[in-house]
Amino acid sequence: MFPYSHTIRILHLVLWLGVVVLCGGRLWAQETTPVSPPEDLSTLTGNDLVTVTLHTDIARFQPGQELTLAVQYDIRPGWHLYWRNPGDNGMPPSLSIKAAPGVVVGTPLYPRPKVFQKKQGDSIETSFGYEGSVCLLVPLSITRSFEASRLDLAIELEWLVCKDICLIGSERRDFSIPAALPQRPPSVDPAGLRLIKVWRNRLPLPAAKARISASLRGQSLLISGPSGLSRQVRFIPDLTPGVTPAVQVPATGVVVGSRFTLEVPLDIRPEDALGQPLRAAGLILLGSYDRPRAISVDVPIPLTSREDFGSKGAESSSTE
Amino acid sequence: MNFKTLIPALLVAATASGLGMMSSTNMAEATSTVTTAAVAEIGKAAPAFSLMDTDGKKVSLADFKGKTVVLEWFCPTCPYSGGQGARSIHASGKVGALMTSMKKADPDAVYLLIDSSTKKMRTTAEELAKQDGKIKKKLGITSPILIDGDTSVAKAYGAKTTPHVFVIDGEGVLRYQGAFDDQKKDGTNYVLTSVSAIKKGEKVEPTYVRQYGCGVRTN
Repeated sequence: MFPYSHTIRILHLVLWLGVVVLCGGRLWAQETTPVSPPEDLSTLTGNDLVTVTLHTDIARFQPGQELTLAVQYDIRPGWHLYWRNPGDNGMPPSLSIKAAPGVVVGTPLYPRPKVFQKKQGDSIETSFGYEGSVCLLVPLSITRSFEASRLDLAIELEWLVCKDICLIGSERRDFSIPAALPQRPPSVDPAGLRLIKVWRNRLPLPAAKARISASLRGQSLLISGPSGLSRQVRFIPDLTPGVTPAVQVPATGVVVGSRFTLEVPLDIRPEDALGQPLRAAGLILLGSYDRPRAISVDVPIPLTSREDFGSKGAESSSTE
Repeated sequence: MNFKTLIPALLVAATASGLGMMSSTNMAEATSTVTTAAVAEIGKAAPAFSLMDTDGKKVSLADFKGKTVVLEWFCPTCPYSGGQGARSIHASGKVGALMTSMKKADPDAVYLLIDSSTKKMRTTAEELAKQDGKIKKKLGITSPILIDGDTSVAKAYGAKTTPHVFVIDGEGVLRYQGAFDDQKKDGTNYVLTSVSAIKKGEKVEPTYVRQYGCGVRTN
């Protein structure tokens, strides 16, 4: 057996060896990581930072069919695009799709976004968007009377991509899908179908499907429902002119047992509604920060003047 | 037993492992919630300020008492602000067109640009003033560009983007803040509607439209 002081000396040596391994390992890792020269940002455009590819779930169409166009944005690491409500700054990607008469182009569907927060002085800058890769899904409906042998789409894309600085990218693309051969069924594009399935799973669920109820009580949006295994519940707002959260977002909810409740005080200003119906809308994000479940809530606010918000307030709800 | 040397070793080890953990944490997503700081509010007195312009002239909000003042947050590189391209409100001629319309609506209205991008561009107030002076000439900007070197004015107003505009009436009360325009061809310019309403003694509507553009960095 070693004497006590000897044991301490050995412990001491082991600790210092640990320090050397930890620090040395980090230094070695830093020295051997290839260091690329700083990029000259003045020569970059948004097109250098984002690659756009187009996909559909079908290879050949039939009149009367519904299909999905997926617009995939692959974003350079460190940069991000924005959700339909970008938050404190930014711009969502814009899509303009022109098709022949007989083709109805739907509104782009946005997958659940990430929440980006940065401290700015005494406040927090919050924006919502995407890193890595994102697909916007655009529903297309072909009428039964559509007789063309090809479905031609002229697509204009523009996006704002940001890191420390922001750059705009834009492209014009033509996309064409041939009609199914006579007497043959429409054919599926297996790769496109797989991709669209992945991104469809990341679209927010409607509140009713998730058994979530949302209602307006006075000047607050009240949301409740099952939380499943999630302990984290957050709310992020949609762009709703005239209605903005009166608290820092994301607003956080309270989980008790297997249910959550969340209250979002609202600043309701009918004079800022830009002629649109007043509504309180947004996403509930349940669970982890990286891959939460998203549920959309949308509550109409029936009153048209601010004076209507008396001490009792307005009441309105979206059903479970 | 030499604990005096043992303790620093433990501290260094803890710090080293702590640093390793920090570097692998995704810092992009903060989890804390902080109450928004008090900033300029519609219907209340706009925060007072004094700033130097690109020519070294001191400009204060108080200089324009009795006049409607428009503040536009500006960044020389942002593609929606002083950058190049069709989306730039300066390069596309949108601000030039506004100046013409605004002169008719209220000849006394004052238009000021504020650049708070020292921290974002990792530069000094002097360098930024030089750069903005060049951009001013290049884009034919006629309004003064004020340099908010320590970003305190951006913080006081809660300026979030470039462009983010604020319209202040002759009494010094903030009447509109938010987007410059609706970004549509021949669409609505919210600066013009606000300045016109103030001149006519009418209610300003809307008082807020979500601002768009590049983020203003204040730290």
